[in-house]
Amino acid sequence: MDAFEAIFRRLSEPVFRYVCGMVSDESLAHDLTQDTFAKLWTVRDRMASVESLRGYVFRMARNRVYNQHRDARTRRENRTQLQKNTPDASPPAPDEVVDADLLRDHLQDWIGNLPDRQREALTLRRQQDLGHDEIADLMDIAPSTVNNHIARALKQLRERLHEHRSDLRS
Amino acid sequence: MDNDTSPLPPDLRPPDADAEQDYERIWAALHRTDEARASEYDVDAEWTQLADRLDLEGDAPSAPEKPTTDRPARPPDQRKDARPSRYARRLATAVLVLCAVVAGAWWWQQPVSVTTAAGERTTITFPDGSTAEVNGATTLSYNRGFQSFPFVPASRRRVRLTGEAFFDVDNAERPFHVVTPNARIEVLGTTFDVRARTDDDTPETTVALSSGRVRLTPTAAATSSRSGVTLSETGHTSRVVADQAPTSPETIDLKYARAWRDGGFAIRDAALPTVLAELERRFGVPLSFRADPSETTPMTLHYAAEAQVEEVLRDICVIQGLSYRETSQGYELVRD
Repeated sequence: MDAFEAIFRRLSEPVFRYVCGMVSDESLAHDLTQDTFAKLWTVRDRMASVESLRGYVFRMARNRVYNQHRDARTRRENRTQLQKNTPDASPPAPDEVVDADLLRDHLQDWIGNLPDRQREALTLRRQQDLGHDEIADLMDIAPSTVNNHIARALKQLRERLHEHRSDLRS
Repeated sequence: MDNDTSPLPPDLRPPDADAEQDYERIWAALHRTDEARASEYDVDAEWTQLADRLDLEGDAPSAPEKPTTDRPARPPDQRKDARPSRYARRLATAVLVLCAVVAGAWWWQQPVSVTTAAGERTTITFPDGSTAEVNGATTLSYNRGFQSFPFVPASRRRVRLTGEAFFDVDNAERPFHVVTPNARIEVLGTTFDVRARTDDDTPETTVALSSGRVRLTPTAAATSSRSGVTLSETGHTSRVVADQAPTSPETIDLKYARAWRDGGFAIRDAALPTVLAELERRFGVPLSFRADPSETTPMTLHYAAEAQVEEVLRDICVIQGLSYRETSQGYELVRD
């Protein structure tokens, strides 16, 4: 049990940040993270030998997330269509430089609209917890495909940023 | 990591310089969000919550998963406060555990094989999180990590099965295949039972679908290209006998397929020797029959949970007009 607590203390925050990057709201991320470790506890005796505990736990979390998507069938965060109609309460003054915090809020919306795997690749890459090969392994794709996802995600985000700026100016 | 800036990794830089500044800005904003989340995450509170949920506080023995198993009484609620002074020691333990697991990576290449004895049941968790509940006298094998080489995911997850198992396959970007002596089952995120038994040198594979979708194909060269059957509704069942094509899906009450997992026993429309062979595997008790099997009729039996072998034998004897007696290791059925 001591070892389990230590594993939790070591891995739960990285897993939480990963799950946050994948689902729409933070309280759901808290739940799914807990679910992951709860499941790890119940299967601990029956785990077939794994080559990387960290990778295994991330994979369990990933399954929780995708099961959640499947069960809830909430696709509103995952549409790939552009959303041109993000209304702001009141548009900022035209000469204003895009405020850093405002950018963060918008970014969260835009990331929510990325395809699942682009968002996932982008999230995993930002964290220092998994190496390139481990990310590819977790997502069941080649490392070069991971980079493709990230490149496309950044490109999309930049396009959103441009639209946002031109909205401000107009 | 407390650095304020986390620069855009060089391999993600865009081809043109204009874009680069935007990318840097986006990356920095994402980094700030990550840092904000990290600073809000209270691991002590989260641990306390999880420990409560799993009942880990106090000296509770490890809780078994099946509710039917007896549990020794737990001591009354003993909430212990977080013990930061012991954290260092626990961390050392965990580091050892993690190191031992990671250091053992060289043997990942060997296939993993799990074999149950007759009368034994167990559950296996695969590297991708899928699980299989395994019945007696069953062997199940797969490549460790579902990989053929390190860090190169195999194009499909493949499990070899002789015996019986109930699979719960997690979300699948890769196909998941179960290969039996005479057939192959392809799945995508689903739950189903596979029974692959070889009696009298005739292999037989039966699949019962609980949820999702699977495809059953015989592996014999002559028939496989033409015949495969898709099961898509709960209760759909199909069987491949030896080299033949799979039977058309019929919807069967799933209570038969699930009985063994609840400690029961079930078999449909089977001749006595088959029933006895299945009973042997389920209970781990040798059974013999001294009379002409052709004088017996096919039977359907169903015990929903916690069956006893004598109870089943008694019922069989009533149906078939036989009697049974104990032998040195098991039982024997004879005609009166």
